[in-house]
Amino acid sequence: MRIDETTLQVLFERSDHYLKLMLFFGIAGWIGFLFLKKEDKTNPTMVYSLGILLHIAFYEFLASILAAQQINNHWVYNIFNGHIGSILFLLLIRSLLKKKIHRRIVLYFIAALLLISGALHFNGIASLHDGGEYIALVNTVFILSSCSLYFFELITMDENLAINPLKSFSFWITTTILFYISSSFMIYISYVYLYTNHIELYYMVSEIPRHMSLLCNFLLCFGIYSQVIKQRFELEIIHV
Amino acid sequence: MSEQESQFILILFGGIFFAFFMSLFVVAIVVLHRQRQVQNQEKLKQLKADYDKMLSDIENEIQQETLSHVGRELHDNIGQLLSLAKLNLNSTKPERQAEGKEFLNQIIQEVRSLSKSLNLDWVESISVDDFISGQLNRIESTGFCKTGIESDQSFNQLAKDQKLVLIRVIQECLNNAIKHAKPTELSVKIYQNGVARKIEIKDNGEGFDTSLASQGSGMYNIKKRMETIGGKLEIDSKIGVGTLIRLQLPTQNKTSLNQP
Repeated sequence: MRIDETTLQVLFERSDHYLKLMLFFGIAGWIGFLFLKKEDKTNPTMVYSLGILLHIAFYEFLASILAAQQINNHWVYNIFNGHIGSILFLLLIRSLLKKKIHRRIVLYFIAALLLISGALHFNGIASLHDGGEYIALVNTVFILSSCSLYFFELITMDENLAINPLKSFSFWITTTILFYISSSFMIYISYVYLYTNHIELYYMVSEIPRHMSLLCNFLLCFGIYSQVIKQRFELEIIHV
Repeated sequence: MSEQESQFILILFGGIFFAFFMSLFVVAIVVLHRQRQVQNQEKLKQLKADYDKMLSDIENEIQQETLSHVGRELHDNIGQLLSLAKLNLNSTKPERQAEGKEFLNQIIQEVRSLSKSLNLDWVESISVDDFISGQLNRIESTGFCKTGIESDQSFNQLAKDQKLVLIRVIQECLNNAIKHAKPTELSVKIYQNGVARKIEIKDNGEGFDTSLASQGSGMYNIKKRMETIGGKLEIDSKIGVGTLIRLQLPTQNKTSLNQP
């Protein structure tokens, strides 16, 4: 793959608000992270939030370059979104969980995701160049199950009774992940059918997970900055 | 309607239904959380009220105990001293009158110390060790039994409420030992073992069957009171051998209700 001036020109002509915003959130999140206190920089929630922002910015940019060169970019989404991105989301949710057993369960989910994916690819059921339906099914199940563990903790653990969920970062980010992953899943499972038979419909429907993804990244970025604001101005917008 | 339009409507309604269902789920979680929060607040209020009531009961019990003690002291000690002072002062001999004045000074001292015990301010100023020593001295002076205390002063740092509860518990344990066990020796050991501070009250009295003791409300109350300040009570007793009561408090108490 060679990036020349024509490729970049095509890329910028094609890139819409989605790619620009993803890159913006990635850079903004990184700058915000630099302003965090030393102990917050080691906070797993902050680290995974930044990891997700940079990761998504990176693979969306890479996928756009490939698309600009009219090269199949499915493998980018299958590897970076279907596997690494899902693992990062699982690790982020794990950092929000309080019970040891639940945190361990999420680690098992990650191991199971890798094992199932390996088995599917090894047996030829799934491929890095396909639409990623099977991997989407597996990671959606695991991410939604992890979100359920968070909600379960929220209503059952006594220590969570002291917090207001509507002012809690963990609640909003888990809710957004829940909506984002489930809406993406709807698109992934109907991807081939819609793309083959109703391409206009496909582009319309795919706007939903794209916007959910933007909202998710905005919240992750906001989570990093709320810590910066809290430290600098002693103002707590949400609990992180 | 074309096939594409019907497909679009199907997906649109499906999506709306799905989003509605998910939103309903999240709203339900928030409502459920709020309900639990309200229930928990009510429960905490109730616990706080129970705790305050228990403290007030303990204060009353200590006052009652103090009043009985003052009554006994007035009758047995100060009354006798006053009679002696009167007899001596009525005498014409100067040495008897001097003796009478000595008695009056002694009475003044006794009344001063008694008046100090009439309000609960002494609880704040006294240490647990001093309180136990005082109680044991009183027991020994009345001739009930021999007493002894061994302490590493690990209970010197206590919040007022905790100290109040602990003092009452110790008082009840000592009273029980004298009333029911009839020991010839009674000893108290105070020490720290890792993260736990312990007070062991040991007697060589009659002892009792611990399985029967749990049915009584006295020991149950003492146990409950220890639990409210984050402590524990253990009883080890054998008939004919004696009883060992172990009061335990963590070094850093987190469970006390007055420190939420």
